[in-house]
Amino acid sequence: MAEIKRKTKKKSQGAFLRDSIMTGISYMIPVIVGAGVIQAIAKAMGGYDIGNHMDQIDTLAKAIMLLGQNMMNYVVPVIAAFIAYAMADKPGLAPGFVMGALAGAINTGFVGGVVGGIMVGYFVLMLKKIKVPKAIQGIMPILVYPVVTTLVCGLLMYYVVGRPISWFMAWITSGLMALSGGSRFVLGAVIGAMICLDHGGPINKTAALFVNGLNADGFLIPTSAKMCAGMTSPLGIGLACFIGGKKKFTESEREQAKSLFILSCCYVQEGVIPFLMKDPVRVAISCCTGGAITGGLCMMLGLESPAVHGGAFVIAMTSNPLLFIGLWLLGGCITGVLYALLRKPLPEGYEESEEDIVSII
Amino acid sequence: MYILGVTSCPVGIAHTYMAASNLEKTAKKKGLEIKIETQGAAGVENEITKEDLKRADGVIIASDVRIKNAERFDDLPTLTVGVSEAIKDAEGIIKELLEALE
Repeated sequence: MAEIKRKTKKKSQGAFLRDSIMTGISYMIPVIVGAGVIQAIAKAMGGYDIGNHMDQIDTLAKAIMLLGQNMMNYVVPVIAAFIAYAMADKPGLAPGFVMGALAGAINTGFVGGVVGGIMVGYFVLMLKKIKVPKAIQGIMPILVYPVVTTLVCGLLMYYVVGRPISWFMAWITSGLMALSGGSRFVLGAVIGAMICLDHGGPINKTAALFVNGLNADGFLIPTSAKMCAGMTSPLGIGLACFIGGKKKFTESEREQAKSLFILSCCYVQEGVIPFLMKDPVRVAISCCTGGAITGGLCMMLGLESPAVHGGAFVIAMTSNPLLFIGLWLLGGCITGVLYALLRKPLPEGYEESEEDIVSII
Repeated sequence: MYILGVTSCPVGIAHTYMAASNLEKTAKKKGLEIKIETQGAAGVENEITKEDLKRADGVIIASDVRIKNAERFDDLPTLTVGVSEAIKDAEGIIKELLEALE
């Protein structure tokens, strides 16, 4: 590629890794959302503890649960495989899937999958550099790459790298189980604040990655903190536009506010970005406050959400739908009132120019 | 002047399309012809064709993930940026591409 060198930034190894992990996540999201929602449907039909007595029943709910569980089993393999794919292209896929499946077998979970995918990626990149005679070039990608990569990376993971990761996962697991009310609130508040800080930017994605990882490993409480907190921001800013009225918000902003309510229901936070860009500090403070309180309460009250995405459409699948709606509205109102108060009134005789309108979606 | 672009983000439902529409709008304002391929959650949309590639002068890739079929642009001057940069500062990116092309 005739790459144009940027004057200000250059692509570092860190950016390469980050893009690769993001690619893995983008392939994983439909799998984890699908699996979570399907399992939730099964639970709604056959009872919340259907997973515990699967062998004693033979109903439609069981069949649906079976689908959901199998889909969930693919979450970690898919992220591992597509991280490796993003780094090393096609030869990364097969060994990547194996590393993901291995992560499930040796209890290294989501973290194990990500690390495994990265290992495979670098190993294949290294293998590709080895010069071989023309005659055997053809068999490299179909025989040598998958066999050698899987053996080397797989055994390395099994005997060496996997050990500390599985200890780490066990430590996190027992740590989360043992958290008391107060520290659960703090963790939830941190998750909520990070989610609501930059609305789909790097900080939000970091928190979402952590929470989705826990979800893939079977911890469903942080997921509700993430989703409920994320849904408060567009609702809050939308409310603020109505509370603040004509004195504080422009015509186009109040027009956008209407779509913010719909976006809030869909858990699409990105609608807040135009507001965040124009008035970063005040928007961030209001959103983080509402998000942190909602997130903290979600964690403290032990609200579980099996689905990592879906907004209002998956509320019925949470362990306590009414509580979820309550916390969502609570956080939204806090953000809304706070921002309506913080926002500066428009200057006298303010005329809107074409430039001010940042359109969205 | 004919500019091609590809936008993509991890979730692929909002940033991808916001970046695409911002680039399109900015280019139109400057009187440039532009075509943006989006690689969102729905897969590839508004695909760049062979004819497009033949006519193109430069490429903008605004993405936080590894995009599909990047090798298409091997022979074209290509500017790679993050997807949020295209949402915030589409004008700056197009300007940077134009300067580099001169």
